[in-house]
Amino acid sequence: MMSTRDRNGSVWTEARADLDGLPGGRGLNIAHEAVDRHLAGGAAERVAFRFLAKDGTRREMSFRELSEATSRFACALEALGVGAGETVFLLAGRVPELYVAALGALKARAVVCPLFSAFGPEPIQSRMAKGDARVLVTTPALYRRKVAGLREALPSLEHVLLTGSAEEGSAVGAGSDGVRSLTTLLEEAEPTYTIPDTDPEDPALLHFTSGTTGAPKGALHVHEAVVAHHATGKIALDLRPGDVFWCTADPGWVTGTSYGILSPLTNGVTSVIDEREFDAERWYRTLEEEGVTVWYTAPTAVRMLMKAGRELPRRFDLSRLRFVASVGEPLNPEAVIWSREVLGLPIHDNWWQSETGGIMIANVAGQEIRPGSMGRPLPGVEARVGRKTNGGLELVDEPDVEGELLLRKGWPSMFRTYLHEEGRYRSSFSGEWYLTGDLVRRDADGYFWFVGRSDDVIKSAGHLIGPFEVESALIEHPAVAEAAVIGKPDPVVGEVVKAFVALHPGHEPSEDLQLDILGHARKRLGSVAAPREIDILDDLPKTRSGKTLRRLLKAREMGTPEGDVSTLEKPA
Amino acid sequence: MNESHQARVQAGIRDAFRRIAPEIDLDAIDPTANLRDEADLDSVDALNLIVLLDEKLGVEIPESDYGQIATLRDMARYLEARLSDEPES
Repeated sequence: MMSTRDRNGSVWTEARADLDGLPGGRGLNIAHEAVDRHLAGGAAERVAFRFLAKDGTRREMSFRELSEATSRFACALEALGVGAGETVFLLAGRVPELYVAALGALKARAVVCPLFSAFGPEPIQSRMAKGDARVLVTTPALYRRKVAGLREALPSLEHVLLTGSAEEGSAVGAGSDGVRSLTTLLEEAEPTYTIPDTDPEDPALLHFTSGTTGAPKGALHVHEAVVAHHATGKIALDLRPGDVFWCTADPGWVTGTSYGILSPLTNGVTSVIDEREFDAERWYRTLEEEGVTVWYTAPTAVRMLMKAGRELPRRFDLSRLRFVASVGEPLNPEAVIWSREVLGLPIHDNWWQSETGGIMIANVAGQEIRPGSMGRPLPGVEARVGRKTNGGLELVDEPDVEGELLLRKGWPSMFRTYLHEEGRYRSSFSGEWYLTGDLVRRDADGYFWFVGRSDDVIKSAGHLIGPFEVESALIEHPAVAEAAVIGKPDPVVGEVVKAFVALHPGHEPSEDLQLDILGHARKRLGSVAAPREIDILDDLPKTRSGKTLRRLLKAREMGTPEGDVSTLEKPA
Repeated sequence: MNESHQARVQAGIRDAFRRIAPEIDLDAIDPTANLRDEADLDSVDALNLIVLLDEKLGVEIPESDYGQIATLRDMARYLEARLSDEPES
């Protein structure tokens, strides 16, 4: 009989056979599977991306045009002397250049690291420093506002390539310090490029994710990940030839890369890319006007649509939609009911994280959906519930018991390391199992249900925010002596970041000071990671060893029992 | 143009911004540029801003009108046109 492991292995072997590989058996490169291989298959003139720009204009790019543009980018990188394994950071909104740069860098075997453009200078600096940024692709405005002031702290950053016109670039310093116009570079580069031999284990993508302690971790993925990007797009998102797909996630988050860029391309379908931020009316109009057939969004966005009322969607024809999926946090039952009534379709929630590189557990097409559940493991994925013991790990077979979600090692898009932190990487495994950090339970039919995080990481609008990163920024404020940050439950975004601070002697609590600290945090961190609320306390509860008790602050905030407080330094 | 409306709207916008994005110097923002870009507001900030403007000025902004308040200038004009003559208590 075939073991589970062999069965999982054969699922991925079959999925790999659905891809082409580089011509002449020269390996596997994500960009070849996403772009160049479609040129021979008669799909060259098919629309790869439909960009909806901020100014309301619409620009289509065929697979052939995308192939040429990405080849130009790869040639430009080569001309700059940027080689295999060097990191290209992307910091921009959802503009065409970002997509071209990501795929062009993959062609040149550079490592791509997309950053969210709403990050403040601090998260940008810590990620670029840790990721050994050699190249940054960004817009003139973002460069001026967020990066120009960091150049001295980022000595490895040699090339800054600016989107937009050469004039806009000059206005923010193009021409010196390695700052150049990307537009000019692309115009001067050749539109053809032969992807060099690529080992499936060559590094390809770097996604930063937050932990409870320390700086964010850089989860490194390899070119073989494309096997999972491709297969999971088919299985979990039901992508089929002729589909028009809209993933609403920003490439600054892993969803916006694996499914906002790569998976629809490898599957040869057309992607809609909306540069603008959430707006309920425009979103419905986009679904209608673009004829979206498969839509991948987030529970937070669904709840924001619900807030806009039931009258609005009636004005739009959403009949082209065939499949709707969501990711980021559990989907509440009200949202599931709303979707059936308003969209006429159920929402298929699924689960994965930066480290897994692709969807692992999902409510898939044609199977019963359990509202609130993340679904069942995809073929090729073995998921279990486990409990850490003194000796290691105990697998829980009983249904409906809470424990940590475990995945058996070996799927193609599994991260290969945390960059420069091999120890941290190793400690996220126990034997054959990857420890996800998410607490779940599994019901008797194999559906998994999210319970919470096993650590203090905050989940806001589906994104992980590390309390340590926020606390570090807060204590840089001259009045703040200590800070602790928690996730406060919120009906729309899941959790919002809430901070508690204690002041240095000589500073008195006041509304002005509170707002000053808030402004300081937003300037450093950007709106994504900055607290929405700040409470000033006399002092923060700590253990005798001096560790701040975030959990106790959270229990107080929620009015739940505080649990064992016997180790408190100062009983509250 | 009703000057007291104008003044009340300006004060309302300033107060709402001070609470949501105190780091923003409204005087330094291009009044014709996209406000969310200029002030780095995310979707939650934008919704909170609308709630605060309603609290402060008594102008409820329906979702379908969000497109009309994309810049600082448009936002002020929109609010001025809808402000009731009775000051909010």
